[in-house]
Amino acid sequence: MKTGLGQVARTGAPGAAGADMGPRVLVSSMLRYGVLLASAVIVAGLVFLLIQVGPRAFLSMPKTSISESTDLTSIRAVVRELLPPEPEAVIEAGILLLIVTPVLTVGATAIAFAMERDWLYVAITTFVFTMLLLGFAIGRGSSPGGG
Amino acid sequence: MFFVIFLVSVAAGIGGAILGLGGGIIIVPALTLLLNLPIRFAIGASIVAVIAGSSGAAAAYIRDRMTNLRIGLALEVMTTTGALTGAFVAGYVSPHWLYLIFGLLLGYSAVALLGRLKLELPGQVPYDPLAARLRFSGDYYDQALGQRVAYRATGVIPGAVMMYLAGIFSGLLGIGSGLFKVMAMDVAMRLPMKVSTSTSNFMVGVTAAASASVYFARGDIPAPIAAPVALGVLGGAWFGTNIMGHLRNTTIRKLFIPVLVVVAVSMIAKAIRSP
Repeated sequence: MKTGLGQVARTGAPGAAGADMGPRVLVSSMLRYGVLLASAVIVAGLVFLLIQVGPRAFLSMPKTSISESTDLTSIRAVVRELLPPEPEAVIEAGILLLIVTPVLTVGATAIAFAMERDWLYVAITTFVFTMLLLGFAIGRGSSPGGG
Repeated sequence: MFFVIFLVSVAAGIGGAILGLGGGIIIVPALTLLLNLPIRFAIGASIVAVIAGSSGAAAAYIRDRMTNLRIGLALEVMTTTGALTGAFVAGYVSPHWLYLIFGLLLGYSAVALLGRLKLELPGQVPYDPLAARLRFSGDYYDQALGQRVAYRATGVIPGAVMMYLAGIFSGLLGIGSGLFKVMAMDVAMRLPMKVSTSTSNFMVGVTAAASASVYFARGDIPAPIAAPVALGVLGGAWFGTNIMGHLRNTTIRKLFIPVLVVVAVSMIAKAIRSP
């Protein structure tokens, strides 16, 4: 309690400029570059699709073929399919990049808090990161629709 | 088809970025009712939308110091725990009661929000030792007011309980967690509305990402739908973040209330209709 209040005073006083500078810059740029990279890959996949299938790929009903595999091996299949440039696999790789971006960001934030020696938030962030990985593992771990 | 999904997603991205929601509220009905897509693809698309919108908007909001990273991460402890709880109790709880409870809770939130409609900033809030210990405070530059706004949270325990419930709810039913997150921060913790929505924005993407891999593996996120959704929402989120800074907190509340009422009513209706 004592140390907690002490920390409030320490970071509270300079306030505006420096508070949480490290974690904030890290999270903001990781999200930005993750999103930019993912959308670049998705756009590349769409360009492939346009070259291969032509404009009608964008006008017709999207192919919603039910995937036969129901386990996590299809993620590996995506990576394997990446080698020859199949448009759909490229797009899926982009979507996958988008999905891992926030999870990796939380993991990196734990490190950023550690560099600021903010152990309470290292613990909090590590806990959240662990729960996210648990969610990956359990499967229906959390928010399917989000918001 | 591609362009219709893209345009719907742009709208969802703008709305989500301003209101702190994932945009599933717009995406799911639009894809199922307008385009007759199967519900599982609509839910898969809404997960992509939540992650894209959240990451896109949060990148800007965190840079602008609008998102409170500490509050977001600490509350994620509650929502992720709640989500796992939800997954475990899924077989034992009837969705009927859940819809009713959450419908009523949202209805109550709408009434609470009405009382705060004219409130631009929370002002002085009661001291909460837990908020001080967790350093739930901060400041941001408000473009609409043209001034720097300092704030601190109160009511951490009621806020945390609401977050836990939000987690259970999204773990079980997969909707509405963004709404609850904003409500917990605005009504219980009395943060400025913009801080509430932008912090919720960061949080919903993190929570959704945890379950996205499963939907992806199951084939619920087909590339031809996911591509226009992801790009559209990202574009919309970018646009939305640029608008949101210039809006007043009271305006955001006014936009929020109809969404809250519609969702509350549809949930209570679902509770009454389901056996």
